[in-house]
Amino acid sequence: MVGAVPDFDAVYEDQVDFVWRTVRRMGVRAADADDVVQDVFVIVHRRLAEFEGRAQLKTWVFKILLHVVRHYWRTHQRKPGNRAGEDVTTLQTLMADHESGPAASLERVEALRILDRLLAALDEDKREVFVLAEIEQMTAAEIADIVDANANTVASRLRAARQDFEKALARFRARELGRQP
Amino acid sequence: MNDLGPEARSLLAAARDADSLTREDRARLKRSVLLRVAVLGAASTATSGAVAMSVATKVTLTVLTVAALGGGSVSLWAWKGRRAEPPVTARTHATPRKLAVAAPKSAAASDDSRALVPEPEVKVETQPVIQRRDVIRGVSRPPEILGAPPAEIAPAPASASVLAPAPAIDPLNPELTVLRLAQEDLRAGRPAQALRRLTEYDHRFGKGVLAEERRALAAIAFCQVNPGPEANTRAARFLQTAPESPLVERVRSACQRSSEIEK
Repeated sequence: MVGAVPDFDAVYEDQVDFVWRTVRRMGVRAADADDVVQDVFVIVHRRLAEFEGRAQLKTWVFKILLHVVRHYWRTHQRKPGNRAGEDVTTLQTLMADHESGPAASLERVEALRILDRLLAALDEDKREVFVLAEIEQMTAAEIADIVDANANTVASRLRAARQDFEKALARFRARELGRQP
Repeated sequence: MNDLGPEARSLLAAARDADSLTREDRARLKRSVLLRVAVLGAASTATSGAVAMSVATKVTLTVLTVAALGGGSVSLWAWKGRRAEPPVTARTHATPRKLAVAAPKSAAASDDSRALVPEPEVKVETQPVIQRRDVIRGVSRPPEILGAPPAEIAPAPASASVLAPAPAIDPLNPELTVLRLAQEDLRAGRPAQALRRLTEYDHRFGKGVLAEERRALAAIAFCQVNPGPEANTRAARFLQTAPESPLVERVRSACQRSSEIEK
């Protein structure tokens, strides 16, 4: 692998779903995700010849993604945990919006919306680690490489992120119950 | 204590399974990426160095166009918010609202190119920043970042049958390269050469992500080389099959003379 320049088309096809999904889970608004994904791949295209194969391609792409997303947060002057209510909706609102949609699809939409809401409750560094570990199922070593931290720090952040996530889920359910007639 | 509960795990599993893009959205996104790369490549050529891009948020690039052709050919690159395109929608409808950007907004074009500097292996150098806002509004002349200094838009020399020095060729994308070269040909008053390039590419590679742009350039080139009924037919075919293309007006404009000849 070392020395071989990957083909952009193949890299794109291989990684675009991952990039799209992660961009969304990292707190980029739906309306901005299109542009952010493009930004990632423009950089990937321009840097591909420099990819030396020392890292996994997915890890390399994710490093780029992370920088683009962090930049997005800065330019939008908000962190993923401070989303001012945008893209965040209650389950009830969501169902009202989509009552005509297919049931299976609705369930997934619900799950993703709830998930995004819970992820928004996490601090930026915890969220990054949590998304990589729990959704992308990367190893601690891979995550440490991406976020430029040691494995112990990653493990510690992940533990804290899981706890925060569970707390956020409990709060969400409590609020939902409170809204029941 | 470190483990997540079943409900949390279920939500995360849903996220792993969902949110993949449709084939159309994959293709559309890729096309936008390649077009942006093309523009950045042009900038890179003009400045004799790579140009870093800035991450702005609200612009989708569409493509270059070739302007009205008179004594001299003038090329214009235009960025345009192309919101007529179908929105990105996750296959699972994971994002119920429209995901596509509504309209070019304030182009919070960043002046912080270092923010994009990925670490270790990524090695993004600090470079001049492309301000996307410069190109958002549409341009009546090529902005400097797009690499068209005045000399390049001067009328072509009468004996302009010699190939101009090739712009930087992207070995990863011959389709972009042929578009760039054809663009250069048109700019330099070599429509026949442009047409040959585009035709040859079609024969060798057939379809591509930028097929629409290639067809537009070919229609324009044909209208210059051989104005008349056949040129009009080609132009009409393009206009009919790509009515949403930002190149529509350019094709119309370039082929106007051809249309008048037919009358």
